[in-house]
Amino acid sequence: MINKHLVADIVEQYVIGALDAESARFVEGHVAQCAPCAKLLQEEAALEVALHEVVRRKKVVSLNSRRRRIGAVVASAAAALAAGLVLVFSIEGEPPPAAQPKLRHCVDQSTASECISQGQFDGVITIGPDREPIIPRYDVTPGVGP
Amino acid sequence: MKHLIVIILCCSSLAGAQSDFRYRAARAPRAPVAQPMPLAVGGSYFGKQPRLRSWVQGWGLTGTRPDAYEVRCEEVFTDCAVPILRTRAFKSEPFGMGSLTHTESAETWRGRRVELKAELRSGAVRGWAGLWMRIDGKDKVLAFDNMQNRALRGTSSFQWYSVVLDVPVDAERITFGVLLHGPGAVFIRELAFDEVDVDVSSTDLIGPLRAASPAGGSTGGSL
Repeated sequence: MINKHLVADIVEQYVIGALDAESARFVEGHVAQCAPCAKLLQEEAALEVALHEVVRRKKVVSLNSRRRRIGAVVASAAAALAAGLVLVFSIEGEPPPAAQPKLRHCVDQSTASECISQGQFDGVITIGPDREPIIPRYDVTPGVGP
Repeated sequence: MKHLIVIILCCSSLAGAQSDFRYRAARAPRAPVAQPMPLAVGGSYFGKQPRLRSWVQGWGLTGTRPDAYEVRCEEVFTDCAVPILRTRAFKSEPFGMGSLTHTESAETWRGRRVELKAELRSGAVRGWAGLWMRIDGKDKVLAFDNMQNRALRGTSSFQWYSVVLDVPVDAERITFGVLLHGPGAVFIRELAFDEVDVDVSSTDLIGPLRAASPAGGSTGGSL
């Protein structure tokens, strides 16, 4: 009998695809034997689906899918089926990450101030109107001080 | 004489006791004897997670939106495994960035080349993440690297990353850490700060940019 349960944070990471393969397999193995954790996974996966508005078709997803997030649904589907329920949705894969951050050139005098401020806020190196690099400060919080 | 500071964030065993992470600061003796890495109690950001206090001593959560980020333990059941810098909500779209940051005097490191390296992996990072280090002079940034040109993105497995900078003789402070921009998480399995040989290439991003500017590096980067 399983008397320890997964924490919500690890389940959330599993659903969004943030776990590595080994951890993901661990979660999948656990929920297959643990009804409370399967229910938690099911809730997290359903929430993810609702938030991303990607419910497209009423169909149990393929068990052969490699996508982790789909894997979350598969695992919860297995648990749901075991509980006499039917899980009938699929979800999209994780959106691709942003491109590598690039130097931000703020050489236009008319917009330089705003451009530089945004660059500092985003934590990237900017090039000012004088072509000098402006270095972001990570150890100072605006309005809070160092 | 070899000079060394090593900070290691160690994973504990699943049966670990109160101190799941050990924060080690060791230095070989040299004259003048340097002050040990500050061991102030971690800030309130970590107050609800006692296990984190043991390794975040001397570190702080900073950035342009530190309220949107947090440092937590990756937990399976009830035990910490790996500290995580992450957004408070994966499903929101926070702006700005957060950093797990440490600052110390440059006195001990002047005239040396130093490396910050860490074993990291990204989890669903939709912006970017990386190590960063800055060398400050009295009123000017002397060197800086934030891995902006080789950032972690998306979901990745654990790999070693490093930033390498020279510490000029007029350096006053060294500040370094792990940063995250946008939704996602950075998992920090191990982190170390150490002197390296000069045959290890510097990764300074600012020096080349200043050299290419009209002023040729004579200005800019003021604190």
